[in-house]
Amino acid sequence: MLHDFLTHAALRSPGVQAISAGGATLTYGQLVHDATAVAHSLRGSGVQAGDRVVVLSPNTITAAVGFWAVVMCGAVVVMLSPRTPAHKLAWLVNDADAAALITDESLVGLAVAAGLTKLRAVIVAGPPSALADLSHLAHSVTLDEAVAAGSDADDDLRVPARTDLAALIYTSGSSGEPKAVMVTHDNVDAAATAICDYLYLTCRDVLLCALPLSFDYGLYQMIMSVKAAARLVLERSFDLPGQILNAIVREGVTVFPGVPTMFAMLAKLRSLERWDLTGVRTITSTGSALASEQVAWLRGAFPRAQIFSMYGLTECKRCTYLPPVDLERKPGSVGVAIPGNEIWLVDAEDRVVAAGELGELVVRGPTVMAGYWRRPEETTRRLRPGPDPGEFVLYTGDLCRLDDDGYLYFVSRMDDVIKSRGEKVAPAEVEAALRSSPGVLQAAVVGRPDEVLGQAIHAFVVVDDRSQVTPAVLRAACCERLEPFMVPQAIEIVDAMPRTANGKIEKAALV
Amino acid sequence: MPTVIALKDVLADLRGDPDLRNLPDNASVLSDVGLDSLELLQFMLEIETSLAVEVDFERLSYEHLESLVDLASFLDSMPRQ
Repeated sequence: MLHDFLTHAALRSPGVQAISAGGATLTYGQLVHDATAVAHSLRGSGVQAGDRVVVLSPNTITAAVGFWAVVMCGAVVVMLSPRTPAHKLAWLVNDADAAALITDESLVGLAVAAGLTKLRAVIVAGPPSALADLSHLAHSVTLDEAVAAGSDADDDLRVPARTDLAALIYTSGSSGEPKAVMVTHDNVDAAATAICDYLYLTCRDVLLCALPLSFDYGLYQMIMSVKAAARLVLERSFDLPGQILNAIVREGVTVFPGVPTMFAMLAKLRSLERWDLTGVRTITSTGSALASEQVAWLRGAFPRAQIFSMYGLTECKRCTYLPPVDLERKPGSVGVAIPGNEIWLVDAEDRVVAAGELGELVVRGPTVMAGYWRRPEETTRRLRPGPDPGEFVLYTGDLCRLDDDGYLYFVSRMDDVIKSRGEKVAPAEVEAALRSSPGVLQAAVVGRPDEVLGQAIHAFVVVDDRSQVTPAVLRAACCERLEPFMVPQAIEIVDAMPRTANGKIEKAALV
Repeated sequence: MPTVIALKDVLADLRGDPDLRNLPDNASVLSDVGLDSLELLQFMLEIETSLAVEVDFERLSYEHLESLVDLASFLDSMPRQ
């Protein structure tokens, strides 16, 4: 089971530091103790196996304790971004049909604004006064109270089955509504094992994670560090790149995961030589292939690091990785299938295409999701019968090429989903946010190539002549309804949209 | 405080929103303006150009971003280029 990673790390290295964040630290012994106690507390407040529990937290120790506690009590963890706007949080918690919430005192106001009245239990990291606004909920306690109460429990926690759900991970859907990927214990075990394997992660490693834990790439840093019994340095965000570099030096970081946008930001800093980054042995990057110039920059900035360019989707976690020795030999490639998985490309008639030809990527293996949460039609579209009886393989919706050596090259999405900063953005969701502003008649959102973001989000809007709508007003509306990475970089008010012959907005003319 | 006014000008240009010139001096570029990590870096790089300072990113921390006044004080302690 997934939490075996934690219990075994704690058995082997109870006194070793597992995690540090914002000046606080926990050893593996403390982490397993607190997570077990909170798991008991959740069970005691009525959370059953299979119930969904939301962890809404910045990158703090609370997020880590919350994640492992939920998994240990046999429930399904839903990690959500602390930057989720209130109305979207309400939608997500309702969609997940969550039974409980674990959060931080800084986010109680957000939880209250979202009107989360159906929850059976809330655990808040903070002083008792942080619970004042939650008195209308049946069972609200502080994290300290939950740990204290659960520490005395002596009943056994139910051990989940390997095929039970461990997590729901929300991702943008092309329809505009987010959808949750159902991830089993087996899925996480297989993905974390494969990635730890090709990265050679060991207990001597120190991983720095400035990626949000609500993003699966960030979440897996925490899971993998525990699997390897390594040390995780959690950073609140990538807002202050200088502080990230300070932490790399101060904490003796050996593994630094990022997305191309983060590396492009670091490349803009002058005087990079003031930081001694020679302790970093591994750089990982996903979201899009690293450009040759970025590889060259990374080699200069992190002279002793091996660089792993990787690619994946939430629906199967990781598809491929490019072995570091192939970076120059296979420029632009995202590599080969991860250990345990198999990939191929098919045409529109589901025939396997030849090397060099364009086709939809299909993934087979133990990391393939169990489906989309309560969306059977979308699940059927993506998961189709595989070679073995009862097996399903993932039709990714990504157009790719494979070369003669079996190396994969991502070309584009088959739908109009934008990849920005390594995250998926559904134009329909941004367009809906824009249309929520009074005076907006039409909205169209496209991705335009951008050397820092991968794709920048450009919005085009037709407004009522009588309205006083400005791009700044529209931007504010987007900030209210969307997470920061979905907010357009440019909003342009236009007189009319380009149209195809049958009257649809011609997005290709806007790119 | 001339540096605060200059910061508001840079913000207004960055966002294309002239109203940002009317921000209160105690506004935070993170919690009030809502700059994301990339915008914050662009903002700091624009400041380097417009104020002719070299921002010490090694020292820049969240406490300098609590208000425009705090940021201005930090920048005023930087050597001019």
